[in-house]
Amino acid sequence: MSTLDPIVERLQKLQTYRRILLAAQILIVLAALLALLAVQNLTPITLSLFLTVALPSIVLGVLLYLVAILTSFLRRHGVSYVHFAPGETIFRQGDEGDFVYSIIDGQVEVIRGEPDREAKVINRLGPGEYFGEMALIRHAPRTATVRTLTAVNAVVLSQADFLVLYTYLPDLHRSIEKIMQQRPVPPSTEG
Amino acid sequence: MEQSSAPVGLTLEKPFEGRGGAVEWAGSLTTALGVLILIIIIFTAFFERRHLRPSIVSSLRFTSLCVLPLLILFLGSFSTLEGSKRTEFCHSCHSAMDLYVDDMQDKESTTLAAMHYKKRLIQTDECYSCHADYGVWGTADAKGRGLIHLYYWVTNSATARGEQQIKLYSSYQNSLCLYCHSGSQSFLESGKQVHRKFADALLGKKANTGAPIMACGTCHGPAHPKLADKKSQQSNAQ
Repeated sequence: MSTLDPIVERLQKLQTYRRILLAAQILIVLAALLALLAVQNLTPITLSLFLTVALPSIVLGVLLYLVAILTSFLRRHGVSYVHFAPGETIFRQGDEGDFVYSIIDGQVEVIRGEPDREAKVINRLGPGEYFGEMALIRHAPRTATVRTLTAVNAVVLSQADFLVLYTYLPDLHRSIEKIMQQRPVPPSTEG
Repeated sequence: MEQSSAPVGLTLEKPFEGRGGAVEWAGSLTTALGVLILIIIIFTAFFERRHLRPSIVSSLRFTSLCVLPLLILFLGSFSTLEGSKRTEFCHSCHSAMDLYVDDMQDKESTTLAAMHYKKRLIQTDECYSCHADYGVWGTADAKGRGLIHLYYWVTNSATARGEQQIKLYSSYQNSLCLYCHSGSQSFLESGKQVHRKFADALLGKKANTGAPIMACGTCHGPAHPKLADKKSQQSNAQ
């Protein structure tokens, strides 16, 4: 295991991607507001804020955005091994489908929310089981939220790699079709 | 018909005001880009929730978080840094220079600053043109010092150096005058080529202070009136 693996593993997580993107957005919005202020009302104070806060914010924001693109790239390519802490949300209902997860050890719960109803746990999955395939096959958003109950080690397969296997391995195809039939039908195309 | 005695430069100060210069255009573009960034970021978040095609969301994000901010970086810097060279900007902090600015705009004054202003030899950025060094680092140096000034002002210090008496950072350099005047025919041939004769003294510096051996102001000064003289003139007028 290389010393970079923990960093790559962390960057591959959806939450990390979201946090980095949010930080980039906040910095760019701050910079844009300060730029507007400085241009519309140029005083020594607004100029100083522009030079000392807005400009570094733009540079940092753009760099963070590029890091977010890198994390997105890392998340979309190849099979990788990922560790999740207990209580960690792996993905949320309505997210863009990007991966299939196969559990090596640990347990997760599958939670689905429906309009005007409380979200409820509809399934629990353990070692050897996989989740996240429905969104990839249907090219639709995630139909449920998946959260870890214990520490989970999983193998992650990107959309492109999964679809190749799904298309060319008949046994896998049949197995997934069977599982999808057993699983509850989502309340709408989104859900 | 009676002709107006007011110099042209004072009566027609901004003949092309309607079109705006590069600074105004850069400022307007920066404003537009800033608003566009805010709109795109809000719409991207909205469209993402509505599950718009991921490729469109990615394109909007790339535009709002990479392309437009970099444009703002350059246009905004140009607009604000160039805008901050204007006399009104300098005057907004250096209010102690009221008398100098008044004198510069006084059509009766014969000081160098007033003569340059009346003849529109320096058309904009009058303070900056003579008081900031030229070249690549001139603006950076001036704005760096400006930030330090602001820090001292915010922290309620007397001056940037903590001194009570305002004075120039260093001796006024002839190079600032020569930036415009050197090489011109009138400069080289004036007074039986006196500038050529004194070239070494004009370009040389004193070893101990770094001041010019012969300052331009020795023969052509003063650039501004002495503050004490101007104050007494004003009090007499009142």
